[in-house]
Amino acid sequence: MKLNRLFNYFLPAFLALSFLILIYTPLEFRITEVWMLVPQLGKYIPTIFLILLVLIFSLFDWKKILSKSKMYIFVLLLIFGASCFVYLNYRNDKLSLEYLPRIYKTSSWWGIQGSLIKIDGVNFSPTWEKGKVFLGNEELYVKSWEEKSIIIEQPVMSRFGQFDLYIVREDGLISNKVPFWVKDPKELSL
Amino acid sequence: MMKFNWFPFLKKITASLFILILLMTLVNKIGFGMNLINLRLFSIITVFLILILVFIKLKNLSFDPKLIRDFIENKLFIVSAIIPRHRTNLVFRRFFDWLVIPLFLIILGLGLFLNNVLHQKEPFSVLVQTQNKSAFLYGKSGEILAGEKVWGEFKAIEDNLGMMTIRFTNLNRINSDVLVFRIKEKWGEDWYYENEYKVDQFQNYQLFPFGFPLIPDSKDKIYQFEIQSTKGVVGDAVALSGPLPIFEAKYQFSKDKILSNQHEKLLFVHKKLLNLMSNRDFSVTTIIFFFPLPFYLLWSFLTKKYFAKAYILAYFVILGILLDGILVHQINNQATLLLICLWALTLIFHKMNYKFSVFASFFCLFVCFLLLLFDNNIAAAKIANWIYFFLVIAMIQLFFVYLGEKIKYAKTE
Repeated sequence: MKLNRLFNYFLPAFLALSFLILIYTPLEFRITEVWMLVPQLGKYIPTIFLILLVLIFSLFDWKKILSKSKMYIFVLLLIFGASCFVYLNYRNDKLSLEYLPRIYKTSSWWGIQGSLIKIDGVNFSPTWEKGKVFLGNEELYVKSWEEKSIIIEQPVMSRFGQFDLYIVREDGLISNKVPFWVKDPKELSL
Repeated sequence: MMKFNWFPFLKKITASLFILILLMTLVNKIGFGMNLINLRLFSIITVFLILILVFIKLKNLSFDPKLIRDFIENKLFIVSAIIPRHRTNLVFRRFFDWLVIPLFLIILGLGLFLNNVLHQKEPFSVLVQTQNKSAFLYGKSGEILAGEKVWGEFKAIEDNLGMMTIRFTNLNRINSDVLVFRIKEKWGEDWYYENEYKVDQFQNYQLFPFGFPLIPDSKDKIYQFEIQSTKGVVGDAVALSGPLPIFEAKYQFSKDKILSNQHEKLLFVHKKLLNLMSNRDFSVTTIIFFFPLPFYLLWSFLTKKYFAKAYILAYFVILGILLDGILVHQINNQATLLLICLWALTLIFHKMNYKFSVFASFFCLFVCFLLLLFDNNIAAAKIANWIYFFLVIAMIQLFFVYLGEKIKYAKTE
């Protein structure tokens, strides 16, 4: 009887955690590291999601369900194994990217000479270890440098068109490159 | 339609959450954690669910509170000694009740008060004048950037001004700015003292001391001070911060001078006591040290059954707990222990069973949430301790019930 009860307590916990890993972590990795939409998802989202999963899995009598067919035990073991595999991969990938500078957005995707552009992202390094910002091969003038945002002033470029905007940290680490259009002021006046 | 049974469902959720907390703590400990889950929020929800479960369980239990009182009066020597209600003559009892016990409680309060005086963070020979932000004639709320100054003035209340402490925030980073601190008498032409301080030594939300040569005749003079940043830039500068006091002026008295004659000694002790009582933490703690006396007097009057049903003593102790939790920022072990003892005596007097202690912990939980809503984190943390204390007391009460039932069972056998 006591073992049954323990089974009913442990299973919702492990299943909720497994489903969190299988659903949330790949999605979070895509959004934050691959598509680079936001630096991180809401602080409380995984916690609330896990609690919801616990609520859902607590509704079932697991002892009764598992006693119906032994196949269910295999399915459960498969879920646990898959979640361990996904978690270890997620952890490895996440940690390898954790300290790299990453640009998530710029205040504008185009600019003219003299315009101020704000770059938002993570791991730009602190104020006292300023790096460099490049537009193509041209170094930009940095007006303000903070860990998560940089304000730059666009210089007079040798040509107009699309360039890659990226950051080179003081320790030499290079961020991802985002496309940026340098426009001819004449086009704007037309 | 089948009625849904909430209790096993809640029990299952709580147990699962508890298992998850243990599991994630273990994973974090062995270095495989990713801080995906906010364990703090998780723990709060779990504790809350445990309290709900305990409350539901207690509602379904019933027991005889008389068993606790019988057990305490018959088995515990100390409590029997405090309540000498039998086998003594009336004169002795009156003498004991109205002189010996009140005198003992006054001495207890004085002893705790003196102990508190001697264990203050400031040396005994230092007087402190606290100030709020209004003393800053120009007090910038954000980062103090290169060339910017914050300045203010205050009237010295004593001679021997020798230090100012100002509260800064380093905004959770190590900054490389250098601040210049200057002080002079108002209307004076030259700065009396000027020095540079690297801000990398500033602790977050702590008062930073700016010392200078003692000013022996500072009393009733107005002093101006300023703090200027030399290298501060956005993201690499400190800022003035709360909580109160924003700054303090400190007056250092020479021990030799204080001890030189009786008059000086008495005068300084008088000043020191007034100075300490102007500190809210100290004054409220002192009030709590003397709580046992009114508690005892209430106890004595209540025996006449005027208010016995109204749980006056319980309200009185709860008031003390709220005073200590909300108004006093520092934790004073003696005050806490005293309040725990008073609560234990209240339970005995009002014959309150463990449900009251559990209810008191719920009440503290509610107060805690309110304090957190108003960003009073220090008070919330202090009240949160009381949730734990009340639950422990409830557990001890339950133990006595169990013991009482054992005795009853043994007698019937």
